[in-house]
Amino acid sequence: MKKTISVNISGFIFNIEEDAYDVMLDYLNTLKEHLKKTEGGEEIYADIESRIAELFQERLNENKQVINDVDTSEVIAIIGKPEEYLFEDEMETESETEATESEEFEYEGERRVFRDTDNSVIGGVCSGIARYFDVDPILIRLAFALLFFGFGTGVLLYIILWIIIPEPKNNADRLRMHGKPINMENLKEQFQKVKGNPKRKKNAQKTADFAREVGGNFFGVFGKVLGFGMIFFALFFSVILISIAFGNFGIFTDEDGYNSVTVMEFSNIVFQSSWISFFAWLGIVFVSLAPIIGMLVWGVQLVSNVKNKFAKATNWTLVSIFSVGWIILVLVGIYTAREFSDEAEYEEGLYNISNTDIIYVDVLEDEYFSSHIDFEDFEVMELIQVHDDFVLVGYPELSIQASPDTSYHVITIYSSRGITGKSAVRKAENIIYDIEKKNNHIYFSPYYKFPKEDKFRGQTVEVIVQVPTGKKISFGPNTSRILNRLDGDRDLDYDRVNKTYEMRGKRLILAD
Amino acid sequence: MKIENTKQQMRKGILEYCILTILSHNEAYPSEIISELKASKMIVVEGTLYPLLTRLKNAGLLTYRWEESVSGPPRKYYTLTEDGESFLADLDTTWEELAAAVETTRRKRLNK
Repeated sequence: MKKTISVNISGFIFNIEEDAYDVMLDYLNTLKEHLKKTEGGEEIYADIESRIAELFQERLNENKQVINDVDTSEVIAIIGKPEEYLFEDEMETESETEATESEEFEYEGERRVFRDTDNSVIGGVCSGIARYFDVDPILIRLAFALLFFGFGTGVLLYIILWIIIPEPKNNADRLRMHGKPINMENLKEQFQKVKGNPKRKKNAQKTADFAREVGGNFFGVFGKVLGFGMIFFALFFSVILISIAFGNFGIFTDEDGYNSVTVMEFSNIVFQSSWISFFAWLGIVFVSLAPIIGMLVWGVQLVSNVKNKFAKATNWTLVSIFSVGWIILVLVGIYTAREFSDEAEYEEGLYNISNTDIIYVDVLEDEYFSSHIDFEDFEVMELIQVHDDFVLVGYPELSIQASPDTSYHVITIYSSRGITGKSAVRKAENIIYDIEKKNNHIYFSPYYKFPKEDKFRGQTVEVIVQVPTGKKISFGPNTSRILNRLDGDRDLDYDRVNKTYEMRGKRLILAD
Repeated sequence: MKIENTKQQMRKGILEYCILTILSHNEAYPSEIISELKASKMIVVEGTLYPLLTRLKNAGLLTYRWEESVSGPPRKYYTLTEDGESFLADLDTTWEELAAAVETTRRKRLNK
């Protein structure tokens, strides 16, 4: 008893034995491949197909209703193999460029990456890559396993590769995977190989084989370790994800656990509307959830040796969630980036002081951050605190320059970004920054504010103190919080605190 | 220059000439053309013919009509177009000239 397959060739139905069908399918695929770049290739293909139908028809009668492998090999012999009858310029091979080279070496077929699903452990990604580079798959698997312990990046990479590397659809693809030229000899050989491969046995038997194979050997142990590792990482990451998405997890957190701003608050002041912020949140959850669930599923599968009946559906769902997440994030990113497209700044000359030879600068008491944060630790970091109707940002930058005349000058520069120049200017103008002056003492606020509805659009404040030549400036104890480097002078930084300097030429020199 | 290539080009040109010649007397469908070409040992496998027919048709030298067949898919019956006729006439002259030229050259060589 033999299984037959019913096929439609040129509009005629034929019953064809399974083996004969495989041979015919490969023949037609090879032909199609060869004719791909030929002018009128489709028509030639249709002509040949219809001739095949005619030849098959001749071989059938009342007593013989099924096409068998004798018929197919006869028909193929009559029509010939594509590489026999197609002239070089009709074939898809890289004729001109290869022609000169191929005189010397045998033509290597075009090599492409496919997932080697016939020798796969999970999705055949590793063995496919190994095929491509002609190395032992175990090396690639080991590399991925090591990458996996580097924060699970291996898993993410694997998923991405699983998505983008195609599965071989037919024997021609399998030959491409090995870089062998596609012709009848190779296809026949490949066909025999595939037929004998246990991985392509019927599903029930396949699962049993797989379980037995995994059962006692080294790979079984290795797989279990990998499985437990995956489950562990999945749980670990999901705890982090949950605390970020729903908890009070801060973006800027110090060692005592103090948060100046939570992820939620931050996204509310970055994204234009709560909808966008919701989508960003959704995108992040999708993108991170898919690999976590994937790790969990595969981990359980590896540990329990039970084959997931819905593996394909699970994988596709996860891949879809992951892709949708990415698309959302990219769209949100583009939308939000537009909000930052233009930049504006404006300058305000605050004070001109000429009746003194020394000024004292210091930073005002800080009622919001100081109780929690040692400023020295946060020298480079921006601090943000969101209030009901305004946002506090630390710190402004303070620079010292040489004055162009004989007076001290205090200049504030406000800058911001916005979707248009106009909105950027408006946002820059909305920044509130306090500087207090008592005689020759100047006190700077450690943070500036802007209205919450302005959103965070990169608002910054820079204060410039210009010191005339021969006059002095003394830095109070708190200035280290906001002191920026004097242009080109690398020695002056925190050392300046509690010291007095004198401007000589264009440089600040320690006074005493 | 590759000898294989030259052979192929020669064979291809002559095959096209033969196809046009066969069709100049009557219309025919591929199987008939094949059997004539097989009889004269011009081709071994049938597949050779189909690309050539398509090429000649696309070049405007051939045209075809469909005809239902009792034992299989409908057949394409090919005939020469007017362009095809005059092209064939050109080829006839060219062939005679070439054959004569080749013959003379070869005879000279052989007689030496």
